[in-house]
Formats: sequence, C-alpha cells, structure tokens
Amino acid sequence: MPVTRMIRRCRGRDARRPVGDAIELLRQVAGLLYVATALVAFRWYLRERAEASKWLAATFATLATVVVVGIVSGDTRPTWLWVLTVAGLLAYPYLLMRFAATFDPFPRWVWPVVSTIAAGLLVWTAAVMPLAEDGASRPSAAAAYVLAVIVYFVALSVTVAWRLWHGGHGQPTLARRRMRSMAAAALLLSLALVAAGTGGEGEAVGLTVQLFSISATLLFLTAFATPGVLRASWRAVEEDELYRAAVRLMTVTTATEVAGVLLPHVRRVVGARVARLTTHDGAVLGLHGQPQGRPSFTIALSGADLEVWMSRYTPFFGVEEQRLGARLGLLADLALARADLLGREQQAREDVEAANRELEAFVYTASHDLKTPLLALLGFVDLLDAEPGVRSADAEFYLTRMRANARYMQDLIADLLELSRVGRVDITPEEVDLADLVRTVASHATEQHPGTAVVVDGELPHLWANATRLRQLVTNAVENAARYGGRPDITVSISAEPTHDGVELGIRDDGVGIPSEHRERVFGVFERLDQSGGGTGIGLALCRKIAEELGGSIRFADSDTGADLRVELPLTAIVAAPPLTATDRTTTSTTEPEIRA
Amino acid sequence: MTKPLRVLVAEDNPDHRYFITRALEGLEDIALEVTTVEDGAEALDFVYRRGVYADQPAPDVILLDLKMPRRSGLEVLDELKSDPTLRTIPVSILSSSDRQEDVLEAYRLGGNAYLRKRGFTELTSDLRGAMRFWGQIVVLPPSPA
Repeated sequence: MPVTRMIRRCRGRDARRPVGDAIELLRQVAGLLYVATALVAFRWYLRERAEASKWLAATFATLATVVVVGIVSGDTRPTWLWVLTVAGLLAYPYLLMRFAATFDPFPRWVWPVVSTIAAGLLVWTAAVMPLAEDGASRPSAAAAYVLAVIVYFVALSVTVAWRLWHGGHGQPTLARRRMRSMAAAALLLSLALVAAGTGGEGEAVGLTVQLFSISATLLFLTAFATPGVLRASWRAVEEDELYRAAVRLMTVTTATEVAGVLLPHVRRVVGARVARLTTHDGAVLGLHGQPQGRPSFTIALSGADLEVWMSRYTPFFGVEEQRLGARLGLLADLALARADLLGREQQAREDVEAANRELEAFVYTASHDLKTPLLALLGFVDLLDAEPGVRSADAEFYLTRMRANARYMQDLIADLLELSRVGRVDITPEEVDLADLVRTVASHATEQHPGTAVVVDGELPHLWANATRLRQLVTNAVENAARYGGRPDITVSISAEPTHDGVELGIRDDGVGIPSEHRERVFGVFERLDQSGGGTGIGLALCRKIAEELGGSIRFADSDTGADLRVELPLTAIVAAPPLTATDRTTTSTTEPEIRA
Repeated sequence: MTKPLRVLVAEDNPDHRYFITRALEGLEDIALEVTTVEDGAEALDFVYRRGVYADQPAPDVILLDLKMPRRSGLEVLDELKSDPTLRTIPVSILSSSDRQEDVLEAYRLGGNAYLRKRGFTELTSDLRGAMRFWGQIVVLPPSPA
C-alpha cells in the first residue's frame, strides 16, 4: 500500500541489501539529530520564555517524538500508534506556522481553515490505516490520501519557508542567514516527505529521503544554535560596517553630522527598520526611516538617546546585533562629546572675535571723541599764540572754550571708565526704596538743569536690586531727558508697573521726542542727535549696559509727545508701597507732587 | 567781478565750526560765501533746498565732517553722489579720523578730497589751500538747477 510503503520507506526498513544498512544508519543519525534539535529548542524556551521559542520547542518536540516512535516501535505498532504518528506528522507544519506567526501574524481565518484540514486528514488517516493493515487494495483512495497529506505538509512548509526567507531581507547577515537556513530546512523536510510518498521503492529514494532529512535537521540546528565559527564568519560584514562607522564618526564635528553618519550604520548593523537620535529634551538630531509606535530599545548616551525600531525577527534571530548596536552607540557618544567640545570651542572663538571687533570699534569711537575736544583745545591755544594782541573779550572766549573742552574730556573719560566698570565690579543687591531713589535723582537733576521737573507717576515699589546701578540708570535716563528734551522747562515723569517676571520702569518726558528711525541708534556709545545738550553721548549706552547687566532690556516706546523710555527689569518688588492714609488723601492726587529744587 | 565761491560747511562741533569759519574768513584773495549747518540732515536740507533753505542757491563746494548727529557725513556723501543732479558738486571730507577704512570709504562713495583736521594753524593753511584749489585752479561744473 502506498501509505505503509511511504512510512516504511521513511523508516528505511524496505531495503534488504547492504545499502539498506546504510540507510538504516542514516535514519538513526537523523533520529538523534531530531532529538538534539528538540533539546536545543527546549533549552532555548527555558532560557527565553518567549512565544516564538515556545512554538519552536513544540515543533521539534513533536517531530522528534514522531521519529523516535518510528524507530523504537518499528512496523509492529498498533493502528492507534500509527494514527498518532501521522497526527504528529500533520502537527509539525502547523506548529511551525505558529512559530512563524509570532513574527508576522497570518490572517485570522487561516487558523480555523488549517485546523479543519488537519483534523480532516487525521480522521481520514484513522479511516485509511485499518484498511492498509488488512491489506485491502484501494489504490485510488490511498493515492488520494497520500497526495492530500503531501499537499498539506508541503503547502504549510513552503508558506513558512517563504515567510522566513522573505523576512530575512534587510536583516544583518547573521540573522538573515539563520532565517534562511530555517527556511531551507523546512523546504528540505518537505522534499523528503514528497520523495518518501512518491519516489517508489528504490534504495536511491530511501537514501535521498534520509539525506534530505539529515540536511534539514542540520540546517535547523544552524538556524538556532549557530556554531561560533559560522557566527564570526557571518558577522564579518557587520563588524566591517562597525569599523567604517567608527572611522567616520571620528571625523564629524556637529551633533547633526553624528546623527547623519550614525543612523544609516545602525540600521545596517542592527537590521533596524528605523533609527533616531534625539537630545535628552526631545529635539531630533537625525531620523532614518518612519517610526511607528514605541522604539524596540533605547540606548542612553551622555548627550543624546539612540532609539531603534527593530523588525519582529530581530529579538529571536538578531540578539547579538543589538550588542553591536550598543557598541556603535558608545562610539557615537564619544563623537557627540567631541562635537560638543568643538562647538563650544568654536563659540568661544567667535565670542572672542566679536569682543575684539567690539573693542576695536569702541577704541576707534572713543579715540575719535577724545580727539574732538583735544583739537579744539589745541586750536584755541594756537589762536592765543597767533594773536599776541588779542582783545580781552576774545581771550576770555578762548579760555572759556578751552576750559569747556578740557572739562568735556574729563567727563568723557569718567563716563568711559564708568561704562567699563558695569559688569566688572560686583555689587550685591539690597532693598531699594525706588521712591526715595527718584527723589535723590530729581534733586540732582534740577540742580544741574534748573526748570526741569521730575514727577512720580503712581506708586513706586521697594525693589531687591543693586542700588548703585539702579541709581545710575535712573540718573542717566533723567539727565538724557533734561539735556535733549529740547526745552529748559521739561517735565520728566517716572513710573513703575509690574510685569510677569519683574517691573517695567517708565521715564517719560514732554520734550521734542526722538524720531522713530533714531530710537535704537541713540543707545550707541557717543551717539547724539544734536550737540546742543552738551553731554558725552554715553548716557543711554550706560543705561542699556546696566539694564542688560541686571538681566533686563531698554527701549524707546512709540510716543506722540516727548520721549518714552521703558526699562524692563527682572527685579522683585519686595514691599508694596504703603496705602495712602486719610491725611495723605486730602493732600495728594493720583500722582505725587512734582519735585523741584 | 568774480562771483563768490559758495561753500557749505557741515560740522556738528561748535568749536570746530568756529575754527573753520575763522580759517575761511581770513582768505583775502578769494571771495567766499560760507554757510554752516550743524548736522547731516540739515546739510541735505540745504543742498536739496528744503524748508528754510528753499531760496538758497546750491553750494559750489561742500566741506563735510564725518561723524555728525542724525545723518553722518558718509550717509550725506552717499546720498549726494547717488543723485545725478547733485553728484557733480565737489565734496571734501574734513575729519579728525585718519583711519584707512574711513578714507577708503569716503573715496569709494565719490568724495573728491579728504582733509584731516589738525591744529588751528595747519587747518587754516589746509583750508585756504583747498579753497584756492576749488576757487582758482580747477574749473567747477555749472551749478545744479
């Protein structure tokens, strides 16, 4: 009968010549190999406890059981044992499909269909086996049964083989070859079964079946218990990739370049679908591929995180490649640290160059502005020298101008020194009564510029601030308004409004104002819109430098009348101005009385 | 009678303005008509005959300080030399700066001469020489319409 003939041929019992002994020996070897494969798979399951390793262990345990039962029981086994043996043979490809499905799920309808077909074949086996034992001859029915079994076995095995083979695409070399070894093994086992079922009675067929069988087990063992020599050989490509990545990483100079070099290498070495490098606060330095869901693993580097999305096959077939990825991550860490150092060095160099340029410009401007009064001084000296009989009125004029220019140079030098001190001399903050400070400034201003009025607009808080710098800032702002307001009876009002992170001082006047195109320029050192005010042109530059030293900013706001200077300072108002008492209410209006000399 | 050479002096510093004016007043062999302005914006108003200068004739020669409020000397020079009707007016920079960048920029923008301010005696000598040059030696272009 074709059925028993097929089974006997698988067992190698039909040959009665010396070749038959060889075939029998090969069958024993194949049996041992199947048992070894089952033990390796089972050990892997015990170690990993993963879904894939569970199905793999079940697959080879079933196959080994079928083979061992066949060897041990021989031809005299009872019918029920035959049926069980065939059941095992039918279960093998089903279990292998379950293993493959852990990486790449099949559609849900597949399982009921396959299970039904397997169950149907089992029932058919139960029906066919007694007839075979009784010697009843129904060649067409038997052939149909054998064909059905072969088609079922081959179809499932080829499906799994194709999935594993295709899944190896894009994987690192070691993982890819392991997967394809398994695919080849599944195909070889199918071929063995086809040969056994359809190949006839000859020794050649028997030998072929056993050789296919042994080759299949060896390939299975290679797939998930790869010898060290093969591992090293198959991993050579990725090791070389790692070396090339290391060389390239040592030449890059920015974090973005590190990402650009690292990520393609990571994908090739690890067999990742997606790789991404991000800073610790989430900014993406580089991305290779389209991320979906959470990363399979993340390597935390000192300056960044390397996130990798693996294929489903990698945890099973490519574990060692993940370690290669970690090595690559370490190299990237070094490169990132180097890039950071280079970046800071470059920034420091640029800062120094900018500071040098600023210094050069400042020195030029300062020397020019010092030359101006000096030339005037020399000019008047020349005039006195050239005119021995100069009239006393003219001489008096010359001497007055000489004195004024000398004083101007003196003021200029003092202001320059003060400007240079801002930021260099450390003055600690203290509680400052802003209203009291304004009164002091107002008193000084009206001494210098009689007719100028300084008023307080609203309440002025106590501030936790550097009193010296704050006084300098307010003094220079008021002085600027008085000098350049355009008329002697100017009124300067000072206010303080809270902001979200401090206070905004307002110094407003009712003078001629500043054209919008000059509102930024006037903060430059020695910049004046006209000479009539007599100042050095450093006042507003000093105000800006102080505001920036205090962590704030200064600008002229749009204004229809006069100039409106706003100084934003991140200072804490520590004590609110005391509420007005009943007595105060009778003598003050919404603004405090103007302060005059 | 030779018509006077109309000179516009743009100088913000009052003492320097005094020296320049005195230096130019001392020239006896050249008739000069000197007008002084205090900054670059006023210099442009004068040349373009705007505002209070609407009735003023165009200057024959301009002496231009570099560092002035509102509009600097280089800004004024650039605007004048970019105007086809005014670019023919000779402009002489008069500055205390001898920095190469300033000299180069002044000539690059079309300045006709660069005089460095020195002491009063030297300044007088230089200015008188310049006025003789523009007023007696060279032929000036016709005055812009």
